[in-house]
Amino acid sequence: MSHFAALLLFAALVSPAFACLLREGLRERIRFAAWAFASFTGFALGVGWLMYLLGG
Amino acid sequence: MAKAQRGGAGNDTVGRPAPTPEGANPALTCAAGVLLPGLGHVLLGRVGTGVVFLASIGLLFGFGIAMHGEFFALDTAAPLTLLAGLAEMGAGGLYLGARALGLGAGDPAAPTYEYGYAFLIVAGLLNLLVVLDAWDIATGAKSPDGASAA
Repeated sequence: MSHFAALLLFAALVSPAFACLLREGLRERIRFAAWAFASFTGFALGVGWLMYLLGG
Repeated sequence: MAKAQRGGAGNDTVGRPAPTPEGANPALTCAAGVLLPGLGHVLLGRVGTGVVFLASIGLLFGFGIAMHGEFFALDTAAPLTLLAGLAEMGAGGLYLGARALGLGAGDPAAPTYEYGYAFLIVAGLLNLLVVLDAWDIATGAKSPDGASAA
């Protein structure tokens, strides 16, 4: 399993749980889960690129 | 406020808040949540939410085992290992069941070993958050619309 696949799997499993903990209402939960999923993957990709660029 | 009044007893879905049940036993609710992720929420009438927690935490835990993750020993000489072991125990019934089946020995040589124990640790910590959430709902500290009473 690649790092990216593990990242996507982790984000897909954790985001709905956080959405149910922190939001009420189906629409709010779906929006929050989507935002959390995007944040997990976006931050990881961003930090990865940063390390790649700074590391030469 | 209107949002909080939408939910009715027995009609909980993932997205529709149910009112705090009358006579809910917080200790029993938390014990159920430790026994099986999401069961505390099911007892509180939030069946859909409980199913999401069970699926999410159960899959995290299952993938952690499948990725050759390790249950860490409670070694007081190694504080980080101790904390990781305690976090994994947060999965409660899943942890005990896997232990009884002899799973979670871990294989440091496996490429997915680090992913595995990370998934197991997060599953345990997430279940502790879920149990605390069930406690807050059962005690009325968290209102049906999600707002904290404090």
